Amino acid sequence: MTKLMTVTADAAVLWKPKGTITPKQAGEVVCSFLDTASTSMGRATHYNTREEQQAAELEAHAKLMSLDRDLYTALLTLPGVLYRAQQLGLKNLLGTPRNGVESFLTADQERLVLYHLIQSMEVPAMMRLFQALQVGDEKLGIKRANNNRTRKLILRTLLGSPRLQLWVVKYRRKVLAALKHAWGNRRVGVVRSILSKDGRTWTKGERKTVSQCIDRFKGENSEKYVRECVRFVLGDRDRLTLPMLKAFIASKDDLEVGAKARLPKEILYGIRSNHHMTVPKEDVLKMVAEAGGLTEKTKMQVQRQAKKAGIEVEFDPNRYDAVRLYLYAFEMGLDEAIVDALATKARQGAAKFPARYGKVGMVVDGSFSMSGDKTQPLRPMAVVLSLRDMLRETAGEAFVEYVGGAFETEGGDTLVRPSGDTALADGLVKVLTNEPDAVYVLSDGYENTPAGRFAEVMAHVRDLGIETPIYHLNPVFAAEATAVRSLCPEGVGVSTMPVKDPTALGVSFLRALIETDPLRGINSLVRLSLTGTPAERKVLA
Amino acid sequence: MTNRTLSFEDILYGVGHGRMQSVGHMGVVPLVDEGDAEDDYFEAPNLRVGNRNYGNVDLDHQGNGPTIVPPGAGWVVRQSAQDHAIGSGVLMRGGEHRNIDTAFCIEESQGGYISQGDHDMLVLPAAMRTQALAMRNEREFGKLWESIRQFNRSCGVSQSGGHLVYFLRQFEKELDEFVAEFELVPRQVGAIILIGGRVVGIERAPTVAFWERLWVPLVRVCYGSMAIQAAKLGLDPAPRVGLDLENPSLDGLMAAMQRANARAEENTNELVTSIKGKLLGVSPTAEDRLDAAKLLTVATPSQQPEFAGQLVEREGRYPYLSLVTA
Repeated sequence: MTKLMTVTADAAVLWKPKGTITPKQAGEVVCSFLDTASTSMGRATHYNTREEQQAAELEAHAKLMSLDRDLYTALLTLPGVLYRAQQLGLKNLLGTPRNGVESFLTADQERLVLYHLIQSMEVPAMMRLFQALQVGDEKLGIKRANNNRTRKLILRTLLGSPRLQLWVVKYRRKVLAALKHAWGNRRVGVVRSILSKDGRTWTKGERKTVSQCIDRFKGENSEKYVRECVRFVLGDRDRLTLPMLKAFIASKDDLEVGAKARLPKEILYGIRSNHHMTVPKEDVLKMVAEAGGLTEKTKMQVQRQAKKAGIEVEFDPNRYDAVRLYLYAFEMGLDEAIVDALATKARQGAAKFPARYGKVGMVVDGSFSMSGDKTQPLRPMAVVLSLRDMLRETAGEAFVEYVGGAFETEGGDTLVRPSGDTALADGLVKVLTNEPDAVYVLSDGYENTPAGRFAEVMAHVRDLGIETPIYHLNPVFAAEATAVRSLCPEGVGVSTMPVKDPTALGVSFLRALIETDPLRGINSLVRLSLTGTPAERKVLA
Repeated sequence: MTNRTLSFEDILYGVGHGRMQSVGHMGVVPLVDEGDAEDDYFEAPNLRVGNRNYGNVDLDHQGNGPTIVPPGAGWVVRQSAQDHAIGSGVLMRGGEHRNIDTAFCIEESQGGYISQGDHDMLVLPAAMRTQALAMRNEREFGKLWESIRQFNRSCGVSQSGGHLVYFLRQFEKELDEFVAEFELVPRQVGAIILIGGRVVGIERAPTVAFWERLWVPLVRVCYGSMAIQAAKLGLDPAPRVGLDLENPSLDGLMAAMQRANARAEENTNELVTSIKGKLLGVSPTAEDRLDAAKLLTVATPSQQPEFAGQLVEREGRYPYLSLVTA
């Protein structure tokens, strides 16, 4: 581990275990949480059912929250923690009062962290979270969050957003459901009735209701804007002045009006299927593309559809992460722009990576099992290729051995499609002959020619006195051990780390530090989480 | 019963083999097309399945071209309906509908008919396939229940009864693992499957695409179940060639690995050669016909056959074979 001393591991102690918990025990709880929060997507992998994955997730969250609420809160903000884990964390935190507990965060600071987490979510995930907050399952240990704190959080997030107009058009049912959760059905009816009237005729009581339910949460938005959006969601389509809301109604007669007002394509597809069935779907896509109404995310998603319809939809590959670009490339092929974007992502990721070696060896598993499950096709391979690119940039020199795989890039190794069996040990020995300073093995952890050969070879390697650090980076989470599958038993000198997001690999390295120095490792993670880039986080530093 | 024999050499014409994959109790030697082995007359099965009577299965092949439904194909459905399987394979044209009235129930005390749908296909555990094949023409829908009960007991299934689904649920995780552990290799059209170092199955499909469709049902339930049984019985795992480090250095380790790989390859070559030297007895009557293709039941000729199963013969070649240990 001496090479890892280049990691920025601050000695300042923000957190200490309480009571009879030892740092080692705390370290185990934190590591188990990181393994599930950074890799598990609650979906079936090649190996485990969805139910088993979920049970393992819930247990890991519960243990960490029980260990220390503030530690749990802070670690939810780490890079690489998946939205799913953040959603679960938010439910747990909102559903359980602090009861005066204070470790290293105050109640206000916890609130700021929660807001940051919600605001950094993608909108559909945020809306799903609001719905999920209403539902609990005691047997499974899922909290229900229906309290004042939760209601304020929902209202502030929705009504204070400058994108409220878009949201009430695109997600109107979900926004309505969230308002019902926050206000209750009776109050929704009251608010609807008040807003349907001319504001000049409101009684004092009605003004107070609107002020308490709507205006106090509007943030930087104007009262007029927020009130009209709420009125729209509650079903009142009269006297609309906001452009998107007006266009939504007008599109039922003329789709072009909606496209020009930049209504989302999904909304226009819906209007088309209800009111303009004779208009081909491709024409709608063309209208939206010509009006500049496609979001960057959508531009990538519609490429296949657009190509089929003969429509050109350009997108900027630099706006996407490397994993998404590789998944796109598997489907649509590579071009120069994507190759350049991948190179940029690799350099950017490498710049943030805490470990530096002069010479690295890499064993890249391109075998068939890296195809992933049908619900996550090719994702493990896409993650591994992104890691490969980034880790190459962290070293002065890199030697890469491929195990299996079919190269799809002429004259280069950029795109590798999973194929063939898994002989990782062969790749390891070849890489070691170059005398690297460290070796990265990028694999889902299954070998079969034969199974167990990697561990056998590793035992000989260590017996030969070769102490090169060897890191096994695994893009797949296996529920049976509440951790990722490793290639060797413990003690053979290979650190196994889960990696779903290459940009969060630094977290995985600090996780490795926890195994040798738990207190230092945990505090380094806390510091990393509290001093990230968003302004809210700087308040906490 | 038999009046002619075939050699495996002929049956596996144009087929080479790849490196053995070995995990736990199971080993798989991929069989690969060496350039002339594929027969694209057949396409992979694409079936909608249902029934209206116990002991019957209605098969609708959705593809355009002919297909082979493998012997031992079964359907364990999510509906409240009695799961079913078939003993013999079936040859079907593109778009054809067939009713199989010699099917059998694999879920003893569950009532209800299967609504027609795209239900996932499995292949029966190898331990039951020979018996299912032997009873393929009997019209008694409960004919496999005792076999299922015994199989479940041998695997330590906690629930008793002739329900294959009990085994599938209890060992779902292990069965899924086999799918990841044994990987398809390029140009693969078949496999030789071993448990504890002993050959227990030889499978071959007409094309690479057909094999890709067939492999998961075979490795997961048909042969994966044998590995689970072997583990339960405490049998030794598959033997493998260990490393013999003569020169304690990295170069020495590389050399040891090369020697181990070479020995493993030799062992696999010997295995395949020994199989190719075997003969198969062929039943005189075809089970099914489709144009020039015939579905035939086969077994290694002896009083107590080593293997039994079915193959498809078409224009002097054998694009399909499914044999399990008898």
